[in-house]
Amino acid sequence: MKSSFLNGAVLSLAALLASATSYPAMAGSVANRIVVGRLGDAAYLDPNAPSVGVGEIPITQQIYEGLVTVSHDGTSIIPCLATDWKISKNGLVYTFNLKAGVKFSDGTPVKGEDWVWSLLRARDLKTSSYRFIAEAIAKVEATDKQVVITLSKPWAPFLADLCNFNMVVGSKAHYDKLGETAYNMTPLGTGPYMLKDWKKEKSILLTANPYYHVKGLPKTKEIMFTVVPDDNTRLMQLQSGQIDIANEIPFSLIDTLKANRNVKVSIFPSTQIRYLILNTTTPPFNDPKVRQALVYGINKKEISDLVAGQFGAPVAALVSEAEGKWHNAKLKVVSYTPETAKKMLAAAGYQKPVAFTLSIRSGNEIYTQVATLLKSQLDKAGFNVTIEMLERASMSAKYTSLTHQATVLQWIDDITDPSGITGWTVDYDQCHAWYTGLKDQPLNDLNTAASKELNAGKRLAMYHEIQKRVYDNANVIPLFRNGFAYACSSKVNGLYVSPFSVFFAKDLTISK
Amino acid sequence: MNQLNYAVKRVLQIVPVLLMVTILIFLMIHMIPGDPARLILGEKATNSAVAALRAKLGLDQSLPAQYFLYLKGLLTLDLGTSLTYQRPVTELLLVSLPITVSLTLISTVFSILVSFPLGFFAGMRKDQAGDQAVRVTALAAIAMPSFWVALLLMLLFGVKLQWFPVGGWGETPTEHLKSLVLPAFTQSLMTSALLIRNIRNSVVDISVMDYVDFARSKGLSNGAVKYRHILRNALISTVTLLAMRMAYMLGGSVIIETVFSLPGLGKLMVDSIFGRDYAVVQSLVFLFAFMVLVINLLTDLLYSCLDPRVKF
Repeated sequence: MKSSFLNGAVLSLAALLASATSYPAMAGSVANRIVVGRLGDAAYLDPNAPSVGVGEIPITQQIYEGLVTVSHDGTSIIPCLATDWKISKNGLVYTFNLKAGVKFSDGTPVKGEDWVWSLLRARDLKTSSYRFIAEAIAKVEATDKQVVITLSKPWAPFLADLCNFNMVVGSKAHYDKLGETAYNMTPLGTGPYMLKDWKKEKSILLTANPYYHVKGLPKTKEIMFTVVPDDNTRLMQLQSGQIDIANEIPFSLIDTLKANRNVKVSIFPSTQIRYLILNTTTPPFNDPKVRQALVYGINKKEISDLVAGQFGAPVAALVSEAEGKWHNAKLKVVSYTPETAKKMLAAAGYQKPVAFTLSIRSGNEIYTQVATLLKSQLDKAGFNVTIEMLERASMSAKYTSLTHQATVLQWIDDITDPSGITGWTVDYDQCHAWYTGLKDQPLNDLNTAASKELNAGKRLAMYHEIQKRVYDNANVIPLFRNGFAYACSSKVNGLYVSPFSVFFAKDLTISK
Repeated sequence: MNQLNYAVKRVLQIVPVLLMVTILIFLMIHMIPGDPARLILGEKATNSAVAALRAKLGLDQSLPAQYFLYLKGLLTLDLGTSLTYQRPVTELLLVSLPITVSLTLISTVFSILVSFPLGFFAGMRKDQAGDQAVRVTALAAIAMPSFWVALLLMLLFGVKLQWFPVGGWGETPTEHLKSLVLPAFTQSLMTSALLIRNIRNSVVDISVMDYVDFARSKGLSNGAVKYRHILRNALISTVTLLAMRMAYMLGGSVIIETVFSLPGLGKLMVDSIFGRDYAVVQSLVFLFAFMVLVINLLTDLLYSCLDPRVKF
């Protein structure tokens, strides 16, 4: 009896193992489907829905398209559903000629009324966090061949704004049929892919749009996005062939991955920068001299080297180098000189170490590393840093209410123009000048003027000046930049990610 | 009091407990800092967009008004709409619940298959080499962090041997089952170890009881004494422990679910707390409380089946 009991247990386990046999790659090795593993699911599939972030944008960008788009390198604006365009001399009227024969993925043709409805919805939907992109629009008129947009004021970045993921055409008839809530979840666009299946928190399956207006695209029939929250699991799935592409690869694991012949690692130039944000409404950072001293107590190179390794670099200017000419290259990273910081603090009347709390988001390896390094550096430079780790909601509540002293946040540009990051940083009304509480009216006026300036040379000079003044204010201190890290199967070709984190799926192929 | 009356009385006691749970969880989730609207809209949200979304989601209403809406929904079996996903909470639960329940059941089966024979084996060989080996193994299983075991299993059975998928849920029932083997095995390790120790100690204690000697002196076979008198009595405390572990596992193991990419209740709960998704958190806590109460009730009722001396 005893032995039969034990045997039963062993046999049961053996039966389970035997039933598993050799496990085939779930779908990744199938040539007409590419599987992308990513951290989380989308909440909505409407680019103007309330929640639009890393979970949603990579999906909606395959489904929806706008009048124009950015080139792969992110430096120029190229036609998409418009063939060409004309801008009036006063910069107020934009006229776009439309590509003929464009259809939504259900086969219905795109009409002029779809453009009017879509662009005005992007402007008027109060719960959209990106409606500011369309706020300059005064009027939209459209036929099936042409779209004419009239602005309420000159707005220099408008063409770049039109490349943003929410300035796309949707079907008004589809919306009228479904209503707002269902429309948020049921996308219908003109892009290379359309939604086939969505299993909440598991996977999103896109299939090729049979009516896509570019012949030969997309190159792969199906793209499946699966949710794999754990970094190690995602990479093991890639190595086992269960997924074909993995994003957000921890920099510390890249060298290990490169040793695997079946895996390719790609680092794409990005506009992603981490910043130290100082609250200027409360001591000690209400004193500009303390902020300026702090700059000398930060070793940005050490932070970049230890956090991002060869895939990062220390930065001085607010605007990313990936924005090309807009980046003010004259601004240089200050050398780490803790003694200078101490002297500056002493000269400003601070005889004891200046104590402050650095609040950061918990559960994020990069923020933890940055905070730890900042503490070790600044504690030697006349400061006394206490690290406070808060989960995302508490952290958000803290900095939006300006009850923090310092925190670390990041920015990725949405468009090929500096107006996004500069507006966020200097405009108090947007979000307390990026949660620093600094009211610098002359700087804000300069930023407003720059957004209206139509002379390219003058506008460039204005943005360089804005970066210089932010550098001097030292309320937002850029720390380091890093590339976007992706890993994929060696069988995958055509993987490309723009500096704005636009993931292009239509060119992807996978060999058998 | 017979078993039916006892069950009815216990079911009636569940109602005020659940009501108290609704009040406590509502107050707790609303007291912690964090604005769901801002979390939904993301870091680039302007204050005006946040205000508009708060109004749309009904978050600008007073707390008592929000609580009574929630309670009214519960009474009509409407768990509300997820703030984050704008989908009915019931729909989200129906996705996650089968995964967690399947994982719990398979883990329980694994635990029983492993722990009952090993615990009994060790108990009957007190302080012998076999007993020591089982005890050390059980201790090691308790000491090993589950995420570490999970990664090792995935590396061996997923990446190297490719017997099982490296996480995920798959698309077909067969793939679901295969997807659950490694996480269930990982999850069962701790339960198995605890059960082994419990069964072993109970068997050791019961083996020296007078009624066991009496059974032997009656001339019962060795097997009958072991299985009818020792093992059966050892199961009483084991069933309690197993029920507690099952209730714990039904609450979802966020580590196991995250590492194995299983969208179960544990992960849904943690994500909802971090996202301040009030409707989902309230519903999940309510569901967990309900499941724990039901499991406790069933355990109490099971006692009388295992031990005829237990009367209600």
